[in-house]
Amino acid sequence: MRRIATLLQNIDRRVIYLLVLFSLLTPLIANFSLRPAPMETASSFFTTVEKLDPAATKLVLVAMDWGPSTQAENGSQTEVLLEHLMRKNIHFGLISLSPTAGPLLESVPKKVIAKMTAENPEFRWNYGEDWVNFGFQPNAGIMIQNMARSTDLRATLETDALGTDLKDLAVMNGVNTIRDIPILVEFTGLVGVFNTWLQFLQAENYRPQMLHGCTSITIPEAYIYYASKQILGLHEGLAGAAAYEQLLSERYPSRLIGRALKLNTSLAIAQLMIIALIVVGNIGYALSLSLQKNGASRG
Amino acid sequence: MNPFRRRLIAAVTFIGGLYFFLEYLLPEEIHGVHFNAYHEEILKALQIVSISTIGLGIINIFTVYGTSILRARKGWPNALALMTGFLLMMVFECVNMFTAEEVLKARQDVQLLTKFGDKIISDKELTPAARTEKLQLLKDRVHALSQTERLSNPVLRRFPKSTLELAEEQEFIQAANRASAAINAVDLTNPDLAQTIAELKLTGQAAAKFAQKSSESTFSALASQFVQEAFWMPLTAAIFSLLAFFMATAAYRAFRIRSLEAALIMGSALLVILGQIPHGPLYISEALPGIRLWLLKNVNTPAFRAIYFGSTVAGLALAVRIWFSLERSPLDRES
Repeated sequence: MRRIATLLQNIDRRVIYLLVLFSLLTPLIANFSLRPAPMETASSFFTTVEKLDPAATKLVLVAMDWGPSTQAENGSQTEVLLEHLMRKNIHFGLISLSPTAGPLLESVPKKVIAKMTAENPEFRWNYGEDWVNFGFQPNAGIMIQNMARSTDLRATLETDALGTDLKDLAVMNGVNTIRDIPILVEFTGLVGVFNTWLQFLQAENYRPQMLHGCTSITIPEAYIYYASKQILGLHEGLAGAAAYEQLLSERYPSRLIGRALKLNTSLAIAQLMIIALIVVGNIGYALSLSLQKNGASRG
Repeated sequence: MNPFRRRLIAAVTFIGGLYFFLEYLLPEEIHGVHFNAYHEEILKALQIVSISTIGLGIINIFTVYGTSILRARKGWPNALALMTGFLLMMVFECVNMFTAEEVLKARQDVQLLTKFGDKIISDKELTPAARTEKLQLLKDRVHALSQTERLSNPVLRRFPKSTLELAEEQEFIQAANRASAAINAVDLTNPDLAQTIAELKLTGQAAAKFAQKSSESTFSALASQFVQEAFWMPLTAAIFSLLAFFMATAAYRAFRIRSLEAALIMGSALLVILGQIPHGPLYISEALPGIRLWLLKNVNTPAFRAIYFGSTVAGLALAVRIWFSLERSPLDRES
C-alpha cells in the first residue's frame, strides 16, 4: 500500500509529458471538436461588433500586439474577429506595438481572406480599399498619444507598412481623427500593453469603445477592465475565441469551421488530464497520510 | 561617475519629469500661453532617443557575443548561432528595405503622373503654350512607361532584375500601353484628358500590384520569409508551448491539499476549468460557466484591483524617487 501511495505521488515527469502530449494530439489527429461552453465575455464582444453599422463605421482599429509565442490563442482570436468584420463589410486597420508581429500583420488577414474566398469564390477584400496595415509602431505610449492628439491621422501615421502614403489609400478616406474610429480591438498576451492603449487613446470627451483579447494567463487581470466596463467584451484565451467562433457559426450557418474550436477541444482535454493528475497525486497523498496515522496508532 | 555628469543627468531628469507632470496638469492655454506648444516635437525627440537604444542593443550584442566567439569562451557555439542568425536576418532585411524603397519610389512616380494630368487640366493659370508643353512632357513620360526594354523604361529599371518575368509586369506594361494610346489620341490644342487619367489610374494600380509582388519575390525577401516561417515562428511557438508541459508537472507536484487555503485554491481552480471546458462528459452542469464568471468577477477582480492599487502606489513612490534622482543609478560604478 505504501508503495502505491509513493507511486501515485511520484509519477515520472516524462510520463506526464507523454500524457499531456497524447491528450493534446488526440482531438487534432481525430479531427473532432466539441461545442464550447458559453461565455458572457465572448457574447458581449460579439454583440458589440454585431451592432456596428457598416455604413456609419469608417474604420475599426485592430491592434495585434502579439507574436508567434501566443499565436495559438491571440491568432485564433484575431482570425475570428477579422472574419466577423469581413462578413459585416466593415473596414479595418491593423497596427502593432510588438516588433515580432510584423509578418503576422500580413499573414493573418490573408489567411482569413483565403478562408472567405474558399467559402465564396466571389468574395473580395482588397488591400487599400477594405483594409490597411499600419505596421509595427515603435514607442508605444508616445505613438498612441500622437494618434490621440492628431487632427489628421493620415499625416501622423504617414505611410502603411509597405511605405504607401496613407492619403493614397481609399480605406483612409474620412478617417481624420480617433473620433472616426468607433472601436479599438486589442489582442495581446500582456495586460500592460492593453493598459497603454486604454490610458492614452482618448481625446476630449471621447474614447473609442474597447474590446480586448488576452491569453489565458492574463485573464484574471483583464477582468478588472471588463468588470468596470472599460472593455465591452473580452476574448478569454483560446476558450474565448472558440465561444466567439460558435456564435459566428450560429449567425452564419454556412461558414466553414475555423481552427479555434478544434484547438479549444484539444486544450480542454489536456486541462482535464492535468486535473486527473492532480487528483491522482492527492489520492496518493491522502493514502500516505492515512498509512502514517495507522502506523502511529499501532506504534 | 563624474560629479558634473551626475548633476547634469539629475537636472535633465528633473526638468523632463517636471515638464510631463505640468503638461498633464495644466490647462491647454493660460493667459494666451500654450504650455504644450512644442509637445509634438518633444514627443518626437523622445521617440528618436528611444529608437537609438536599438543601436545600443546591437553594439551590446556584438560586444558580448563577438568577444565570446573570438576568445572561444564556454558556450561559444551558441554565441556563433546567435550571431549568424542575427547577421543573416540583418543582411536580408536591409537588402529588402533598400529594394522596397526603390520599388516604392518608382511606383509613386507612376501614380504622380495621374496628379500631373489632373493639374494640367485644372490649373487655370497655365497659358495654352505652357499647357501644350506640359502635355507633351506627360505624353513622353507615359510613352516611356510602355517600353518593354528595361533600361529605357524609368519604372522597370528601378525594379530588381530577377522579378521582371512576373505576370504583374506584363499587366503593368499593358496598362501603360493603354494609357499611352489614350494620351496619343488627345488633341494637344484642345485637350480632354478624362480617358488618359482613367487609364493612368489603372496603370498606377497595376504598378502598385507589380511593386508588391516584386518586393515579395526577390531572393532576400524569400530568404527572409523562409527564415521567419521555418525557424523563427515555429521555434518561438515551440519554446512557449513547453510551458504547458512544465505547468502540468508543476501542478501535479505542487497541488496537494495540505491546508484549507490549498483546498480553496484547488476548488476554485477546478470550478474555473470545468466552467470553460467544451460540452462533453465533464460538462456536468449548465450552471458551471455562471459559477466561473461569478468567481472571476466577484472574487478575482477585487483581489487583483487591490494588488494593482498597491503596486501603483509603490510605482508612484518609485517614480518620485527617480524624478528627484534619489535612486542609485545603474551607471554609477560607486553604487
